[in-house]
Amino acid sequence: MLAVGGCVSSKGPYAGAKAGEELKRSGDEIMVAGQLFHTGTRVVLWTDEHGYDAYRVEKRFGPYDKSSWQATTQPGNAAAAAEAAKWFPNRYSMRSKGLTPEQIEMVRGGGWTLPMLQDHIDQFVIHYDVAGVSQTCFRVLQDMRNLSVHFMLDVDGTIYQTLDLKERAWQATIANDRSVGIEIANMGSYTVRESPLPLQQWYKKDEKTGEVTLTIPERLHGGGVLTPNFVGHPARNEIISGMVQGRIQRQYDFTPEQYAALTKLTATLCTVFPKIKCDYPKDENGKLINHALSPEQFAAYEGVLGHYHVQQNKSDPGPAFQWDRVIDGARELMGQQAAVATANTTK
Amino acid sequence: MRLAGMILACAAGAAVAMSAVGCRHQNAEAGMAAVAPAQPLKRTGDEIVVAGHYFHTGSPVVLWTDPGGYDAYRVERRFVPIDVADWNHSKDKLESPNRYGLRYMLNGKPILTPEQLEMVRGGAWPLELLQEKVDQFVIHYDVDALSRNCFRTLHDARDLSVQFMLDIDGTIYQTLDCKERAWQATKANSRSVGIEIANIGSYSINQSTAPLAEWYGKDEFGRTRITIPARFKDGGVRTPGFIGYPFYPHMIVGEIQGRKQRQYDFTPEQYRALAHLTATLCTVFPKIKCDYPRDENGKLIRHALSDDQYNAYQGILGHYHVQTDKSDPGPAFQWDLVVDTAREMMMQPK
Repeated sequence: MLAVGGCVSSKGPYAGAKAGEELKRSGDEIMVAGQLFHTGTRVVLWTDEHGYDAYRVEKRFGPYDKSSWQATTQPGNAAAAAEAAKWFPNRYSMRSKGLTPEQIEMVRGGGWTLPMLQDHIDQFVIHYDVAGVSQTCFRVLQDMRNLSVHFMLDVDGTIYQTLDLKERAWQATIANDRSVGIEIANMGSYTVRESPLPLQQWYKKDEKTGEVTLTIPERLHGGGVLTPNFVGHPARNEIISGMVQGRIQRQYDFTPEQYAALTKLTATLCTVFPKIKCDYPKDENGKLINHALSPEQFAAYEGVLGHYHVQQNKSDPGPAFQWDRVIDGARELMGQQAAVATANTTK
Repeated sequence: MRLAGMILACAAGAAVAMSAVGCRHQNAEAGMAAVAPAQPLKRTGDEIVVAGHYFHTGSPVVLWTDPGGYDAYRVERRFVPIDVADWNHSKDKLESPNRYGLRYMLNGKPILTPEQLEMVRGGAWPLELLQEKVDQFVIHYDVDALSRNCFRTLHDARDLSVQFMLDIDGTIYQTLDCKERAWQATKANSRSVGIEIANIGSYSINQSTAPLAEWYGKDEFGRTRITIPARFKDGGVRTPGFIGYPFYPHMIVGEIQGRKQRQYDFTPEQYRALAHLTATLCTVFPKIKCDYPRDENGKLIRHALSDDQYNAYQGILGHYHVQTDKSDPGPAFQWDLVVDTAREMMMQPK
């Protein structure tokens, strides 16, 4: 039988498949308003084996018998109780800004249609996680900080989606209503006044070859990286220094695997969401803006941007992030795709 | 637009991966290489989700992730005024922000090793592990008569859940991945998947049949039809203008739990969809045998199973087989129609 999986059956909407037959996924799909879109790179959904699910109320790590909502909100003393009272069982909420009461009634249980969402989303916010690996990133967001993000990108290039993009993840303050966010696994950037100890812990230089290798601290037991025996290297071998928010910052670059995956995800998002322009914030000379946008600039901006473009108190994704590599690569992929589409329509 | 997208998806896949069979990819690497970013993976709209895998049923299914779906993962109440729907305004009405739990304990004993628990506590069930744990499919009627009302009762009022709801027009709603332990049938929760079929329920001789009188009337040709009370408007039924007729026009009388009960039958659309879902579940979960509880003569058991019977039973069963205080799915439910049709589907070649 030829009409399987993504292809349509010729015998009507439900006649193509036998009950119990699997709709095969490629393992590269993201979910947007319940629809699956290929990215061309490995994606683990929150619904999948190995996934991280930000819809859940429980803590993901730590003792299981202390992970439930009841256990986390019934602490033994008054101080802890006051702290717990600030907690919400949710790490996400509704993109309610600008919706009519009728639309709110429709989407409050998650009922976003793709066209409605396409109308709402116009930014893709890039973060580094200062957690080093995505497993730790999820632990920090879910278990400790009551925050969330749609995507995490691990050192081996595995993308984790933790929420449908219809949800308002708690990742970038004033951008949450209109954006999709990603946390890229990386130990972050440090000013000259800050200790670069995390960089020394996470990156080791081979004495003979001089090659820098990403070294996940032993206490993390491999850090949950999905690729067996993965050995990561920063895309550039040396510490990168650069100005962000008017301060010189030092950082190791992301891995080539992360750039490859992010490029494909960016192309996917910029295609699925026409309002996200495949570009980054540039000044009048076409150069990257390396500080927070003004309120007017931010309000008008539609495209890919860094967390530091949103907020003055943030430096991510840092001076090492190669904006042109991601944007040019994504545009190339989108161009190829447009060419395929044109070829097929003109056939 | 939609058609063009599907053709494009197939063409792009075939052009790059010449040896691939249709759009099905033999392995992830090949599949990823073959597909340009943002190509949709087209669903048919008949899929259920089991441990993140999508399985066709051959009958319309609305997932919790879909527009128009009912999402039992959400903390908020779904139908109360929006400004009091959140947890802080719900916590004196509900015991827990969750309506579901983890398939961990059964009969007071853990069914997962510590390593398995650590792996799946966040939801990351491998399909194979789930297939080991699920061996029952529990059939309920909802006494709400409409799936929308059923979800309101479960989610907003009772802090309960069920994996599937089946509306009067045959639309199946899945509200949770089958990996979750829905709160639907007490001691069966850890080992079962459940479905609430929209039907106003069965009534013993001592009970008023006012609900039946309210929910069933006659159409212009004198046929018995479902009459949705005006206060529910269209009832949230997905098929526009749908008029539901019980499979049999007369009231069905039969004994459940040793008491005579009266009930109107389910709709043909519900039986058709349920047969598809049953065939799917019995295929996906090999331990769910496509059969119902029978006595030594092969006849339907019409009361709760004994503890020994229940513990040993693997297959389809009614809520009343699990608990002595339940009557659903009632005397009208046609066990043979569902099981025989499902078996036929399972025997058909691919």
